[in-house]
Amino acid sequence: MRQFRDGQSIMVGGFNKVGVPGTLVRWLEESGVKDITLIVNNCSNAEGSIWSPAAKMIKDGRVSHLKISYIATNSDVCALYEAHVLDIEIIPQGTLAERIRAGGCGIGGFLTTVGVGTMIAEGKQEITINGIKYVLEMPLAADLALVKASLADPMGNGLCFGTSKNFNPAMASAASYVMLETDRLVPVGEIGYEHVDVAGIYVDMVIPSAEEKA
Amino acid sequence: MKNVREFIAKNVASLLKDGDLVNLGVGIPTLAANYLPESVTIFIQAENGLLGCGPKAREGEENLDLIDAGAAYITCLPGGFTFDSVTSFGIIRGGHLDATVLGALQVDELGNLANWYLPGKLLPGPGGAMDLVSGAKKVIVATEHNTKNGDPKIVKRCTLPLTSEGRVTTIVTDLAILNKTEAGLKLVAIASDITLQELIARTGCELILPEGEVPLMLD
Repeated sequence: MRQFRDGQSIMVGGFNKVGVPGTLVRWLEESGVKDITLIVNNCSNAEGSIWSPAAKMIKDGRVSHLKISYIATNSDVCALYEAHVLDIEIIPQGTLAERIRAGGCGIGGFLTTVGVGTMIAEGKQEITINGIKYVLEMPLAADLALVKASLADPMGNGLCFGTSKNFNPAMASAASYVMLETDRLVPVGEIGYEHVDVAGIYVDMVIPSAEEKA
Repeated sequence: MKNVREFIAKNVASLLKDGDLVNLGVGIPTLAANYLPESVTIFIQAENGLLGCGPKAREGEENLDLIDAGAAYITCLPGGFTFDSVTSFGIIRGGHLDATVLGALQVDELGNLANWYLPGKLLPGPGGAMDLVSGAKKVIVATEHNTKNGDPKIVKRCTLPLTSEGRVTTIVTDLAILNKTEAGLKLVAIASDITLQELIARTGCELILPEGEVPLMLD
C-alpha cells in the first residue's frame, strides 16, 4: 500500500476481463490515493466487473488524467468526456501498445499512419516520408505498473495463459515500479525459460491474486 | 422478413477467400465466419492476442483466460497461437491481414469511415478499429444501410469524427454491396427485395451503376 501515492501515473494491464490484476486494482482503490493518471486499454464500470474499483476511482474524481482506448464498457467515461470534467486522452489500441513499448525500450517516438486525418492526430506532428503521411507518437511510461501473469516465480518471471498477455509484458517494461499479481506462485525455474512472458528483471513485487475467476 | 444481420454476414462471407487472414469485428462481422462455404478456410485474428480463433467454447469447457476481442470465451485451433498487444498490432499495422470486417456509424464515397464516436450520444472509443483500418489490405464495412431513423449511413462526406481516411474498400449492407473506386462508390450487387430506385433513395451519395443487369446479393 505504501507504493500508492497521490499524483502517480499508473498503468494497469488487461484486455476486457482477462489478464487484469484485480487484487492490485482493489488495493489501489482502497489506498485512497487521488490525482492519478490512469493508463488502461479499457475499464468496465459494470457491477461486479474486475475493473470496478478503478471505475469507482474515475467516477469519484480520484483520476485526474485518463489514457484509454476502448470506452464502450464504461458509461461514466463517456459522460465525463462530454462534460469536459476529466482530462481523457483517447488512444488507438495499437498506438497505446506501441507507445508503452517505446516507453519501456528507450525509443524516442515512432511514426504511424494510424489516426492520420482524424481527431487523434490533432496537435501532433505529421511527417511525410516517401509520400506517406505519418503521425509522430511519443513514448508512454509510468511511475507504477500493475500487471498480471497466470504463473509467476519469486524473481518476477511470469507466464500468461491464453489471451492474458495483452498489455502486461509491455507495461512491465515501462514503469519505474512494477507490481505483478499472479494466480499461482511457483518456485524459480518451474516456468521454463522459453515460456517467460513477463520478464522478472522489470518486476519489483509479486503478490498472489485473491480474485475468483468469473 | 429477412434477418438483416445474417443476410449481411452471409454476403460478407462470400467476399472472403480461402487462406485469408482476417480480423472480424464484434457483432455482424463475427457472424460472417458461420457462412463460409466448405471450400473456404480462413484464419481469424483477434486483436486481444490470438491468431487461429476457433468456434466459441462449449458451455462448461470454457478456458477463462481465452477470449476473443468481444470477450466471448472461444477456442484456439491447432496451429494457432497467442501473443501480446504489441505483437498483435504489429501484425495489424504491418499489413499482414488480408481483410478486416467492421461496423460503421457512417461511411462515405471517398472510403472514409466513422465508427468510434457519436458526439453527445455514444463514445465506444476506437479500440483497435483505427489500427485495423489503417493496416489491413481489404477493409470491409458491414452495416445496415440506414440508421434507425432511416437516415443514410452511406453519405457523400462523413460528418462524424473519422476512424480513418480513404481506407474502406467494400461496403456490405442489407441492401447492397458497394466497392470504393477512384470515381466513387460502385454498385456491385443489390438485394433481391429492393428496386434500384429504392436503393438510390436510401443512399446519401451518388452510386456508379454497372452496365446491364445488377447482380443480386446472396439470399
